[in-house]
Amino acid sequence: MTGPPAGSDAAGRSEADQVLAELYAAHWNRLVRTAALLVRDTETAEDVVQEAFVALHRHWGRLREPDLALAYLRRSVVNGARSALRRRTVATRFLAKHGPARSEERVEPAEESALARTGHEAVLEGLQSLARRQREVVVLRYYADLSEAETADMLGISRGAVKSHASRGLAKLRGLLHEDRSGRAEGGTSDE
Amino acid sequence: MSEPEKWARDLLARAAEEVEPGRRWEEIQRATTDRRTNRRGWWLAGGSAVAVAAVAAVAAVVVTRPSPPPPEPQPAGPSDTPAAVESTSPTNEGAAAAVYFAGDTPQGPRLYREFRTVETRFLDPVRLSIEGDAEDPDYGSLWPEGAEADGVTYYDEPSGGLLQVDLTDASLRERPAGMTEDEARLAIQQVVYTAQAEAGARAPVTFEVEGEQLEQVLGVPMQQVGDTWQVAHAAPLDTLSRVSLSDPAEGTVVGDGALEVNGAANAFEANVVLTVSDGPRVLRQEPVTASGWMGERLFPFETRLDLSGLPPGEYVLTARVDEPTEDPQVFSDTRTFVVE
Repeated sequence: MTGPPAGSDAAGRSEADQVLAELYAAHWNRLVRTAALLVRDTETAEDVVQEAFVALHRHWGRLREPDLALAYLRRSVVNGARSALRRRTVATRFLAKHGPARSEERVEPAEESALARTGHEAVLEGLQSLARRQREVVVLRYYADLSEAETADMLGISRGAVKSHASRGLAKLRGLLHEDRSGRAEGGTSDE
Repeated sequence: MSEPEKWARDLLARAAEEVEPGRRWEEIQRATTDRRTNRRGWWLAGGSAVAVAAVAAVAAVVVTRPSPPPPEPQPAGPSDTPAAVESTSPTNEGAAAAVYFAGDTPQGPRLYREFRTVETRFLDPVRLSIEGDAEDPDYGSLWPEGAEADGVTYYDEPSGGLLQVDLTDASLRERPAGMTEDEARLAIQQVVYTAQAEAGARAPVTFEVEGEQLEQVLGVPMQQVGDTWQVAHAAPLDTLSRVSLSDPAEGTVVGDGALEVNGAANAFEANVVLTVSDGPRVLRQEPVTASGWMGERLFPFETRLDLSGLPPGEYVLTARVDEPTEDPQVFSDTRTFVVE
């Protein structure tokens, strides 16, 4: 028997509802931002985090530990982000074959290439160029503020692996963003 | 913390700050309600325990009280839980933080945002804000000279959390001579915006001096909610400058002939105009489009300015937003940079 020791249906529900409301108020923004760094676009990030909250509610009976709930949410977000990216890879392959168009086109093509190389767009794009583990480690360590040990637990890998993914991920990200800088400085837009 | 790690923290914090999460509470409620009606007794479902017990990840910056939350939401009474709640969380690594300072606009003082590297989450950014310790010489603080915070705590509960700012001087209850009510309100919002950026949540702020909540700050009454005296964040467009530069930082040295520019604005038709001048003369002018403008917030913009042909020297970058009202108003933010 793995169910809760006591308490009625209603008590279990209202506790789950209350915990969910508190977690939403305190962590929704930061979790969506974490997810956005993992999956790039905000709407997908919201979907992923929403699903994590629903899953937490579903599993509350077995979890029953407010202190663990945030860790559960983070883990769900990381897993949800992976699934979202897998689905998108398929869609992107299709688009590459059958048509152009990045989804959030809103500026002239000439400006667009400049936009893609600076600021937060460049960072989000750069993160997508990292290997999956590297991206997860970099985001959990340097945005979500998890320690090496916490990151290792979260991803189910060793601390040594966290270290090496972090340093390779950072080196690659740095290279990507700097490459753009020097590439554009020397060759302008004519290098393609 | 190593240099690349510092760089990464700063980079990710800035990128994340531009992500504006939409609300999904109704959707979540709907989904969890449906589940209840469709599958009664769902929590009794068997199966192996979810393998989360091994995970003990609580964000370093979030203070969680050790005991389970009380059944009824009640205002956090920070002063009665001394040992359990360690004020802020010293990171030995340094972190990037958004700090809000006051600066001039045609509508009087408004807040501008500066990204800074801090040692201690929550407390350092709030201190920088109150003390007006900005890198941009155009920014400052509306708090009176000598005002100081010595603790900032984020209570990660109940229902939305609460930010507590400990001030060192009870005289900050009163408004100093010469300060207007608008200035006092904006001074408080410097702290509210800065602390909320750290929390990543719009949690209300309560001010305390030596364990006593202040029922007013700088002569501005706090709102009483339960037994907490608190203040919420004010509407962004009444509080923030319509344009604020994030990059470049003040005094940036440019070596490769181009300047990366980004910031946030709420501009008519999303139009932000960037100019580079050497004082009197405007040498470059370029429009940039923010990611939006219909809405009660600022939208990010970013571009890369070609500086080729500019001789070495000191220049001023200006980001300008025109309000096309009958009495046109120009909001701007400036940065000095150096071409090598």
